[in-house]
Amino acid sequence: MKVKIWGCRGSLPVAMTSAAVREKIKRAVQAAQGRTFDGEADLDRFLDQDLPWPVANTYGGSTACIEVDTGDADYILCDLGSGVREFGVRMMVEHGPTKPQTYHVFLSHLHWDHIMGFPFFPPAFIPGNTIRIYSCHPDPEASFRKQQSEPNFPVDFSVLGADIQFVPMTPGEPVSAGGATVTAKLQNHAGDSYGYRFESGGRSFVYATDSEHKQKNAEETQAVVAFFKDADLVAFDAQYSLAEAVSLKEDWGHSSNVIGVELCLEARVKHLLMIHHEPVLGDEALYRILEETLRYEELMRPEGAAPLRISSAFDGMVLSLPEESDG
Amino acid sequence: MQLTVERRERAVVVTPSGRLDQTTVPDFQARLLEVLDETSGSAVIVDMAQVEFISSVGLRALNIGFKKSKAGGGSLSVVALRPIVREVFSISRFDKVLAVHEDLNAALAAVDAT
Repeated sequence: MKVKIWGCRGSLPVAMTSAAVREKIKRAVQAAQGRTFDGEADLDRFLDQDLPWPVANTYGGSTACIEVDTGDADYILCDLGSGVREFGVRMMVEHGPTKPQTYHVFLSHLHWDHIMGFPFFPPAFIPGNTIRIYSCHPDPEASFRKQQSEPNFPVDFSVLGADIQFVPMTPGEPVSAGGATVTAKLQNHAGDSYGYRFESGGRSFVYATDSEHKQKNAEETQAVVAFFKDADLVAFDAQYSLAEAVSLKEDWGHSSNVIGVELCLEARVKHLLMIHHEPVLGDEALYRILEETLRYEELMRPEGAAPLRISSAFDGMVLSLPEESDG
Repeated sequence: MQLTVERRERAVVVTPSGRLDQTTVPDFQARLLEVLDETSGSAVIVDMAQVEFISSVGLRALNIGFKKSKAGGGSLSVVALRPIVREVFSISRFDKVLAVHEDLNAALAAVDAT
């Protein structure tokens, strides 16, 4: 199983500013002073090994969209945030307009940052393609039609040429799609959200975004631990700090890196992937949060327990389960 | 987890010891809220010198105490964080939410200044 991040941000798409680009260039040039480079491979080594990650890279700014690749011919996506535009462009390059494909989309919920990319998803316009949108919410179709109609968008939903099917799901009742068995779980978020656990070829991936963990009810916490149990990878909403999540932003429906570590350690998860990054945070800030999260895991890890691997998602990241990231 | 309460002239000093985690926090939180009920409107200082570790549930308990003291017209501050506890406060950004002082004298001075 492979998991590819097409959109790692929460709430709102963002783009790196000119000032941020210049700052990275300055730091890279400073670090390169006095060096010579023996070809492109040497330059790549410098970028990968000598520059701090947030100088040589960026997290990206597209909203929620994650691809789950089971090796099946069909495609699986989690959510249709702005990241799905680039995925759609990739599909057009790979398959063109004449080779029909099937896409299985699992929707966490219908808030705008999770569906805003759909009007810009080229495969939806092409007759012959099939798009099955799985959702535990009642009438998700209404949200898609409303989003893609005047005055919100100039091209009406009815113009879309693909066969678009809305498939109702019930939490706790698995469905088979795209080579995976998929189970949904209700989460705490305004208007409800749903997490999904994907099982395929002996590997497991949990997509758990837009979920606030209030720790007020042990039964509720244990249900989350059971949902995450022994997963190879959990993509977890770590948008806020714990302090924000319990004070100013309480009941805003998101969680923190600290809670992600605690839940994943208890569930013996192998790899925690922080997602739904706060749009106001730049690359340096997100990288610092990753370092702090690694430290918190060290402090929290029970004696003798295997370390929990932790990463912070970036657009374009690819994780092969259970191998190392090649993104 | 042990907890002592000392009523001083200008503040109530609550001193927990041991770990503030899932096992110990229910008791700690109940006792902290009891103290806040009994001393509504007072300055409460939580002396953390003997707290070895704090996890998210311990931080939440402090935050619940903080909100309750504020609602009652009082205050809640924490003092004397051990290095590891200080790290957890920083990672969780609780050092931006709660008033954190180096020691009891600094906290008492802050009470006097209000």
